[in-house]
Amino acid sequence: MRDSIRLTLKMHRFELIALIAFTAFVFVAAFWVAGQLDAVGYGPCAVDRGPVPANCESLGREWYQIQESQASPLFGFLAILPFATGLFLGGPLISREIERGTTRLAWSIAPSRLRWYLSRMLPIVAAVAVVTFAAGIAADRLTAAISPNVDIANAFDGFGQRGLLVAVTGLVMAAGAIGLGAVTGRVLPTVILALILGTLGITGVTKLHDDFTAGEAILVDGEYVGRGDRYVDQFFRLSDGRLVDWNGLAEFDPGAMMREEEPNYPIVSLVIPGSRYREVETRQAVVLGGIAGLMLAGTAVIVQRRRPG
Amino acid sequence: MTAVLEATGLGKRYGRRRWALRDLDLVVDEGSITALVGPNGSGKSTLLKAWVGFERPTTGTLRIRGIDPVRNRGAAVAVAGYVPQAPSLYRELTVEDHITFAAYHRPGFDRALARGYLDDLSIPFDSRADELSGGQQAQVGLALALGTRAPVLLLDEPLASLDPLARREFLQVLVEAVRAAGSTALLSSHVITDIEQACDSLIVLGGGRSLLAVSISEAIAGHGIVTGDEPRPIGAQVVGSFPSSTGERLTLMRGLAGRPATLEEVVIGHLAAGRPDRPAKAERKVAA
Amino acid sequence: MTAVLEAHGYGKRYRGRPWALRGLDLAVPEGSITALVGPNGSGKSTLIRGWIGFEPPTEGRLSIAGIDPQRHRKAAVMRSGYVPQQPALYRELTIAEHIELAITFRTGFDAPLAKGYVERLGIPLAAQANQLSGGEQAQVGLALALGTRARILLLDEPLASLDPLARREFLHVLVTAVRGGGHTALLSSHVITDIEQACDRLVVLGRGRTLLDLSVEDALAHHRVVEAASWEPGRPGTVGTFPTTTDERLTLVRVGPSGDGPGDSGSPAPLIGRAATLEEVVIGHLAASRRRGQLEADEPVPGVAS
Repeated sequence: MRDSIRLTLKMHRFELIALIAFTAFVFVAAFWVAGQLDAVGYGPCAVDRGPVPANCESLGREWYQIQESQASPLFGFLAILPFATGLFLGGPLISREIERGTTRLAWSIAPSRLRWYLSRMLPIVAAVAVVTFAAGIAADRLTAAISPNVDIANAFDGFGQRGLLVAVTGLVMAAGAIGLGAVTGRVLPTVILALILGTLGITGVTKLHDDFTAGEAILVDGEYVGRGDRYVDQFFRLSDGRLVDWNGLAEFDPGAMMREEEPNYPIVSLVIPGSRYREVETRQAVVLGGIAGLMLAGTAVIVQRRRPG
Repeated sequence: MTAVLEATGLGKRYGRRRWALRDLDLVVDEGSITALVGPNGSGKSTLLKAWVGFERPTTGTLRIRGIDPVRNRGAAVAVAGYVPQAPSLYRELTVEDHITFAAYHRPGFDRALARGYLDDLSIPFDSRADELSGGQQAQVGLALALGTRAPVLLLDEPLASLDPLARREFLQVLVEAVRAAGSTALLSSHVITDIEQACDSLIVLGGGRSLLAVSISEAIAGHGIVTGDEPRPIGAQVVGSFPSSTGERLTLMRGLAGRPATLEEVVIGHLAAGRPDRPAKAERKVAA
Repeated sequence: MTAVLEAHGYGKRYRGRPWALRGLDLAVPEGSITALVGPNGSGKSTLIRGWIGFEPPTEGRLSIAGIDPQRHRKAAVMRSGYVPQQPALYRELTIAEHIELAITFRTGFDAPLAKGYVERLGIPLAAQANQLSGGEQAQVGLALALGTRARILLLDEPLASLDPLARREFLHVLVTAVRGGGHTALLSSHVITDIEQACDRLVVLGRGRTLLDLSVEDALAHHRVVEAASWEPGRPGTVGTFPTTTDERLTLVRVGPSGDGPGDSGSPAPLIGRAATLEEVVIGHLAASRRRGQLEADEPVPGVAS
């Protein structure tokens, strides 16, 4: 069993080393930059109301400079990582074997193709999970640093780009790439198709889940900003208790927008409270994870039926 | 004689029109080393693959030691030692890795046996497959198949692109191993001298069908060559015509006629018969 | 006798790897059909590609029809018809399209001639290259080379995936085209019976060097085969030992003039053992060359204690 894992990892040695090295670099850099941001001490400046320290302007400049020049690019890398990991580890798994003809050796030695598939797939999927999970942790840390005074465990800031969902994104991409590889039997077309279909698929599922979650929104007083809530919609509350949007307000009080000051009606927000972050995150992870699982299972069927090429 | 490999009415179609095999009947007896000869596209590879379940027949049936690879692929694979057409080794893995791989995936794999063959040839175990010569890679493929201790060996063009010395060494290992284990081997090859050295039986395929299936001694004893326009004995059966290296037309005959045919000429004559409209045209044009 | 293909002290080495060929001297006479035999990696492909300017020599020089293919590559290419090892066809293009391409690339390309060869072999012009079998692709490669009407043909393992009938026909076409037109052909091959049928000269390469360069007739006349068990290893004339599919091993012995063997300087070759087949001649020399290579690898470096 250990030998089998060792051999599978050896077959993907280049991709593994490259992706692990890149992830390690991004991980260390993210923690370092997060530390730098915290060290500026900008936290007290980032409040909605109340007194702020005198030197906030210069602190602000320093803080934003680090965020723009260092944190921002890192977020870019972190966004790419789960896609790259899933594609480059999952894509060649079966397609390269078919392309190079080694499936003819493997499937004539091993009477059980299912066992062969598991011996190849499980270690690589585990590797994808570990690498992307690390990326998710780094993203969490960095997000916390750029959102001072926000408890990111209870906030929707950066939803989908940090934490558990990074690993799940990687797994979905990997599962899709493995499956497409079994169908096409060619590495480059697999990577291209998996990139396109995977991105579209994940975006689609995310959108569907967002719409579904929006149906669970609740009303809270005031603007949503700064509480970590997920914004769904915003209304004005009229004196008679009705809720109207901008158009409704214009009907009710046409002059409201003409006046110089802000319309003097209380704002009410339709939100998903930040406290539900973990719950929503987990639910999305389960849906995407289930899709990944189905794809991996479907690939087992394809492997049983297809010619070795 | 028990038949370890059988095909009955076997047909395989790719796409909508291309039949690689068509209504093929053949039998390979236990203990024989049989050669499979035929043009590319005649279905040799397809046939070998069918017995290990890599190809599903369109029509007909086949059996390997009585097992139907369509119904019971795992069992069919388990009685076969298959040497795929090169290249089939994992480039980045070493020879030792390949043995480990086979031992992990194949119940009953005999590591010592496989290692023994490679050791005798001084093939380094810690070399990556892509560092080995073509001949060494072929020997690794053979050692892995022999290591399964399968009673039936199926070899798909194992000697292609190997130099004469590498081919000789491969055949020597194969013949010795098969004789020692009492197993059966079917190998496809294009080189008749190799077939003469290693095989006792011969199957010629053409147009997806079996054109000839005999022992080699019968093949040679049972055919003759008539040159050019020499008179043919009455009752002798014409097989086919083809050019000689000097440009004369040779005709293969069944039975006592002309001079004894070489095995190569027997094969070529039947191949020529297997595609009826080509040889005549080729000679006419070229002679011009 | 003019030599149309020559090598003078030719050596080729790829970065960081051992020499593929070294100190090679070769002269292929005009009008001959010469066979080039040797293990893969012995430099056969490299040498052939060198003559059409694909591989610059690391040492020494080559010449084709008197031209240096490195300095005058276009002229070298124009004088040769090349059939590469892996059929280098465009997967999605049809055979007819390949011929159209050849017309645009090559002045004087004889499309009807090429089409004729393809059709005669039963290959449909409208088929895409990736729909053909490997052997059919090789035959298309030959048709394209013959279509160039070049006087020197360089064929890199053209027969590799062809069945015996296809090889017989290929060689028949090649031999007729070459002899009829006074052309010269050099083909590398692993199948010795084909060489016996079509070629008049034999060159064997091994470990980057020429092991043998003589006419097929001489090769057969000057070699005999004996049982290894009854032959003393060091005897003059010994070439090499090789296995058979029976239990015995055989030794190739060089006899007759220009060998150090028994029967030297004009006396008739003694009838030891039996006549060697051309295949055994090649195998014996390859075995000897490999053995020399192993011995060199095992030799202790002077001055270093083992």
